[in-house]
Formats: sequence, structure tokens, C-alpha cells
Amino acid sequence: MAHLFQGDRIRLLCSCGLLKPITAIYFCRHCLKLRCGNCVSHEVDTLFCPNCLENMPSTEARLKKNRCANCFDCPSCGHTLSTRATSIQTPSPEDPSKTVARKVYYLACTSCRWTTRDVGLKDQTVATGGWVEQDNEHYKHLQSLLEHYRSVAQQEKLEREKKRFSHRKSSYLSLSDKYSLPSILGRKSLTPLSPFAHKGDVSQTSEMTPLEATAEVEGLPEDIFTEEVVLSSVTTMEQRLSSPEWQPEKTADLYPLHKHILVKRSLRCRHCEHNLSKPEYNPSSIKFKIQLGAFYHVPEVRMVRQVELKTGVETGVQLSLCNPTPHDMTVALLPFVPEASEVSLQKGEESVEGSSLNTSSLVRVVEIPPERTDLKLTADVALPQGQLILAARDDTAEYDDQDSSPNYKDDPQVVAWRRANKVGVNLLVTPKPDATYVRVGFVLRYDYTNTVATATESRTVTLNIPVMVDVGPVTQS
Amino acid sequence: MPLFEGLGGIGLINEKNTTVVLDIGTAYTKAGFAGEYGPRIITRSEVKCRETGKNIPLFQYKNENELRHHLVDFIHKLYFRCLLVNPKDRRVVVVENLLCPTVVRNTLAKVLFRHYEVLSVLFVPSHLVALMTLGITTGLVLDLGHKEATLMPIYEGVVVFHAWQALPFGGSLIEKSLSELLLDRAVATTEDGTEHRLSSIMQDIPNRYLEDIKVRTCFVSTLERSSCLQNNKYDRSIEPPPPPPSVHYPLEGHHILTIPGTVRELAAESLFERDQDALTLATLVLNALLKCPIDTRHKLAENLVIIGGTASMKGMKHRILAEVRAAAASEQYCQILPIPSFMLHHPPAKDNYVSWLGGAILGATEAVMLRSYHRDQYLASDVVPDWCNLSFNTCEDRDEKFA
Repeated sequence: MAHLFQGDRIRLLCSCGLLKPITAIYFCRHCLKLRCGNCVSHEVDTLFCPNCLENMPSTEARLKKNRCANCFDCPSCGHTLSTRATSIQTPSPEDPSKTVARKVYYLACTSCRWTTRDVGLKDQTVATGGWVEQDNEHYKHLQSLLEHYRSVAQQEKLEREKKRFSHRKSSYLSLSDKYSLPSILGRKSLTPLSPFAHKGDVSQTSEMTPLEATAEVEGLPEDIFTEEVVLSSVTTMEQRLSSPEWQPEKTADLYPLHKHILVKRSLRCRHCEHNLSKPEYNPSSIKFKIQLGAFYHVPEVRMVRQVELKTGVETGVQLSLCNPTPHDMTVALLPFVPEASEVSLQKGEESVEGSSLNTSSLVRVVEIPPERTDLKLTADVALPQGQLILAARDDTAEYDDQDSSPNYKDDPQVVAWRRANKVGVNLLVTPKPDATYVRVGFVLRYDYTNTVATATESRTVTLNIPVMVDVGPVTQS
Repeated sequence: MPLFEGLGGIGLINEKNTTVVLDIGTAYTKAGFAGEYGPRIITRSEVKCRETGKNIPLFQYKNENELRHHLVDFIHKLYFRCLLVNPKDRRVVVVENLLCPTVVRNTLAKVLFRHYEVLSVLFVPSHLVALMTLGITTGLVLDLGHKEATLMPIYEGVVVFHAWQALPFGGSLIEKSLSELLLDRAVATTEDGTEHRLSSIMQDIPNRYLEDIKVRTCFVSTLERSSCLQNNKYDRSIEPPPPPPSVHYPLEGHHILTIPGTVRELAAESLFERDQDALTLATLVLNALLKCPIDTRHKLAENLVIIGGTASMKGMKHRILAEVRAAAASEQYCQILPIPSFMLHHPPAKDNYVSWLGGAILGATEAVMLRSYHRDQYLASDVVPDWCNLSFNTCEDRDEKFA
């Protein structure tokens, strides 16, 4: 299956060591490095219900257990339930002999045809918000348990703090004991001095009745040996686990579930704490406030057409390079070195600063373990020497009849074609003797013009990116 | 329980973020918040493999790096699909099996501290916190999980560790024997009505069908019926009891599998058959009691607790209790272990999340703040304190704490 951005063919080496397609990589403008989903920190940005697209603040989500109050899911298949209305004849309140049509509502699933009537729930008279919640039968006992253990832990904490202070005071007390008797008599509370004695008033810990063990356990039901099992009346594991506290075993006990809400995530670079991707607040909007994808900052490499490769035979492969930035870009293809992205040369006023801009020295970075990927190259590649200039991306170019390509002098051996901000480059690939699949690598060196900088003028920086290209399988000659 | 919960019921009053409680099991993971009465989600412990793209079990890994990738992906899913909170600067309580491999524990700590930058992690033993749900301090806790059955006696809040017992008798063993019995005895009907033996159609039954068949149709039969069936195996003249009715189970859309009643009854028998060392679940309990100090044995025997997903099979707890009583009365044990009564507790939760609930109760108290292992401590030393690591558990440390 062909992918629009050839994600399975062309991959960039992220700063954490993983190979990812250009669609899965972000470019940090401040560190001037590539980051991927593995090495950024993810954060929950906004919460929303996927059905009614309503925003939910995080405190409300915590109270409602991350569930929407108005939307329900089918407990049988998981699809969203829709509210249906029927009208029934009921005796009207004023005149009992006359019947009046009244609307009642029930929930029904459009995909598996489950309805609330199947489990015996009464139809509601209001369209939304009438469905009663289920109760956890052990609620009271668990509440008293929680209170009890909280007070036990509170006591332990007080004990520890008292111990810490009593050590210091004990020598003082022993001195005063010899000289002044009232020190013992004067003590209001007769708490013992020894740290091991049973402390604490029982009244402080809240009451809790521990559960009793029983000698007999409920065995198998009698009819299990004679009754037929109807599979449609027994719930499956997924159906049971969708309501963890009740886990009904019979489908007649299934209850509609409140819909689980979804999150919008924002991504943040670990090193410089700047956002790489921040979505909009409105749940129905798919745009981003901040979107620093590599696709918008790094030249895109694509293979133009599939070629047949044979062992030892030098084949020509054409790659197209595309410049996404609104500035002219000088690119060069260099031999593959995995650490190339660490070193970045700088053109501009300040030369000795290191490769990152605007890093705060107060941020302590928690290092994630580096990944090791298989970077074995299975073919030799003859890269074109010298630099190529890519024109700036001009959105009006498609309406312009004039072609700007005659301005650039290109070596016809290297540059196959040039169109607006794209260039086709010829490479010669020779598969190695024992290779079954050809993987070629090179370092893409390009100029990046930074629009966010401490100085007022924008600075041009040269960056290197290791790129890995899967050219194709080797046909046996 | 009402959908809305008062603020007093959630977590600690001082903490600004509620603690997350995780119980990562071999088959299912329970995740939720401290102070709540049930996990937010019980989900399969499966991840999408980074290389092949298929769903594989979380603990199926070739090396430590692959385990780390699995845990990163899995915990990502837990936080951003199920719990919907930021992992950063939030405490975590992990309910773990004390017998879990060190590499899993260390990798989990590394992932939580480095990738997700949690504030602190507290590992609690699953058997110990299970007793917190009952409000007792003494008990013999048997955890029947998917991979294995583990047992720990706990006396007055202290785990009697040297009496630990474990056997590979869990849900996966039941599924394996179910698969063998089905391939041997079951009959599949195809769309055109012809019947074939299952073994002629497929070699292996996929795990998800085995689990579904096990959960929906199988049960654990009583001790009397089981001994009848055993006797019938050796002596064909004794009449076996009539089997329960068979079930028609649709398989993969093409076949209807007829599961004979005998298979329904016999699948779980593998947990109670004596293997070569004559070990069963019943001997597990009795051997643990033998290793415990004599004065504790009566109290422990009267406080049995059986937890774990496999324990919720129909008839399982009744059968275990009957087997334990029968084994205690047999000549092997009645001289050395004269215990008059065995009693069983009923936890206030479904069996598969009892230890999670214990962790949630503990996580809602001040004990979490006192005992957790902080991120700064981990990053300084890169090591998680462990009961088997002597650099943390020497006699001098213990005396210092109580001096």
C-alpha cells in the first residue's frame, strides 16, 4: 500500500535514537533538534465527550469519573446509545376516565439492537437525565474501612513526629526529674515515656468492624448439572469488565454505561520545556495553536519511482527534495553518520554558544534511556558532491506561468529536474553482496532560518539530519 | 454508588493530586485512583508490538529493552486513554506480587520515574493489602491468577515470608487443559451440516476463544463428583455421574462447536489433580501452615482469603475449601497438622480487584507520603529498594528504625 509521505520508506533519525517517518517527528525550534513521540513529554490538555463534543473541566471530570453525564454506551457492544421516544396512553391527571398520550423515552443501540427495556429498566418521562445510577453494595463498609485506616495512618505520622521530638526532650526531662517532683505530677496527660508502649486513645481511631469469616461457602447452584446454557444470556469478559464494580454475569443485569471521555494531548520538549504541539480548546476544531511538525521545517525527501536492484549492479535512484520553508535553502548530501545531528555549525554573530537557543539552566532534565536501532546499511551509495539550492516555498507559484528554474545553474548529472521549491536528485546505489533488502543512508545538511531568536534579526543555522531510505528488495540476477 | 462523589471521599486532603493505583497482572491490569471503591478500568495486559503491529501480551518479551518499550506503551495507554490525568508529579502505588521477577520491577520503576516523571512510587505486596479490604490483620491469602497461584500467610500485619508457596496452577493451566480436552472430544459442525472432530479442523484453538469458553461455560465440580469421575477412570465398572448438558458454541463464524458436558466439568480438574510431587492447591495451603509458627496456625486457618480472577469461577472456592478439609483429614497431614476448622472470608469486592482495592485504601492514607520512594532518591541512586536486596534490609537498619 503506498503511503502519501512514503512513511515506510524514508525515515529520519530522531535525537533519541529511533527511526521515524517525517510525519511522526517534531522539530524543536529552540533546541534545533528533532523530537519524536517517544522523547517528548505528553500532557493532558483538554477533556471532551466524543459524542456531544462538550468540554469538561478536569475537576468536573474527576468527580464524574471521566464519564459524560448525558451520553450512554451500549453495555452489549459499546456503541453509543440513542434516545428513542414512544407515546403511551396514560390516564390524564385531571380526568381519570380520559386517556392522554404522553411521551416516554428509552435508550436503544443502533448496532446490536439492545434496549433498556431488555434489562427491565422503566422508560423515562424526561428525555435526558432520568436514568438512575447503580449502587455499590459494599459502599458503607468500605467507607468505614477507609476512615479507620486513615486515622491509623494519621496516628502513625503523629507518633513518628513525637518520637523525633521526644528524643531531644528526654535528656532534659530526666534532669528535671531529679530536682523537681512536680514535673511528673504536673503532666496533664499520662502518656508513657517508652516509645514501645501502646499509645493512643482508642477513641481517636474510628470504629470499624472487621469482616467475619464463614465456615461454609456457597457452592454450585443445583441446576448447573441439568440446565442448558444459553450463551446469549451469559456475559463475555469485555461486557463484564466494562463496569468493573458490578461485573454482571447475566446479560439481564447489564446496565447502560456513561460514555468515557477523550483527551486532547499537548506535547512538550523535555530539554527546553517549550510546547511542540498544542491543540485548540474547542473540541470540534482539528486545528492547532502550536504545530511544530518536522514536515513544516525540514526538507522532505521522497523516492520518485521504484527501481529494480541487482547485487553489485550500480543502479540510478532518483530522490526528490522539497523545501517547506519560505526561505531559500542550501542542501548537501553527506555520508551517513548517526551522531551527525549532535554537531551543528552556526553562521551568524554568536559562534560559541552550543547548539541550543534559549535553554534555561534551571531546568533539570530527566534523561530517558537512549534507544538503539539497527542502522546497518546494506548498499553503497554515490552521493552527489557539492551543494544544491532549493527555492523558497511560494504559494503563488502554481498561478504563475513563469518558471524560476533558469536562474539556478544545475549540473545535469546531479539534478534531474527542478520545479518551484522541489528538486530531483540522482544517486547511484550499489547493493552489497549479501543484501536482500537495500537500505541506504545519508546525512542531509540544510540551512534553517530561525524566526524565533533572542536577537532581533533571524539567524541562519546549518543542521544535519541522518536519513535512512529503504530503496527496495534485491531481485536475484 | 452515585456518579458524583463528595470531595472528602477522594484521596488525601493535603495532596493536590490524587494518587494513582496500578495492579499490573499477567492477564489483566486494574488501574484507578486512591480513595475510590473500584478501579476505573480493568483491561487486558496487551500492547501493540512496535515491530509487527500485532497485539501481544505485555510480559512476552525477548530482552529488557523490549519489556521497557512494552511498559512505556502500556502505561501511556493507561494514563491517556483510561485515567486521563498527567502522570507528571503525581504519586503512584503499584500493587505487586512479592515473587515478581526483579527485572520487571526495576524496569517498571525506570519507566515510571524517567519516562513519566512521577513524583513517587510505592510498591505494596498484593497479599498484604488484600487483608486491608477485610479489616483484619491476620490471614492466609491465596491469589489465583492467570499465570500461577501464590500464597502468603500474614500474621498481625507481618508477611510470614519464609512460608511462601507458589504453583503454576492458574487460569492458563485451565485453558491449556481445556484446549486438550476440546481437541480430543469436541465435535464441530460446519456450514453444510457435516460433523468433524475438532482436531481435524484446527491444531490450536486461539486463546481468546479458550478464555471465553472457560468463563462462560466451564465450572468447578464438587469433590464428590470429581472423586466419582476419578474412580471411573481407573475402574470402568463404577458408574460416573451424569454429565451436565453440552453447549453449542459458535467458532470463527464458520463452525459450531459442540462442547460436551464432560469437558465443561473436567477443564478445571487439572488444578486439583496431584502432579508428580503430589502438589495441589490444597497441599499449598497445608504446607504453608506447616511452615508457619505453631501458635499462629489455628488463627491463620480460620482466616483464609481467596482472591484473584480464577477464584471467581463457579464452584471454585467451595471446592478449594472442601479439598483443604479433605487433605487435612488424610493420613499425610492429620498427625502433623491437627487443625479443627477452616474458615473463608468474603471480600467486599469482586475477586479480581481485591488487591487493587487494598492498594486504593492504603493509597488514600498518609502512609503513602511516609513510605513512598521519591523520584529524587531514585534518580540519585538508580536502584529500587527490594526485599531481596541486602543493601536495604540489613539488621542494623531495622534496629535503627525502632531505636
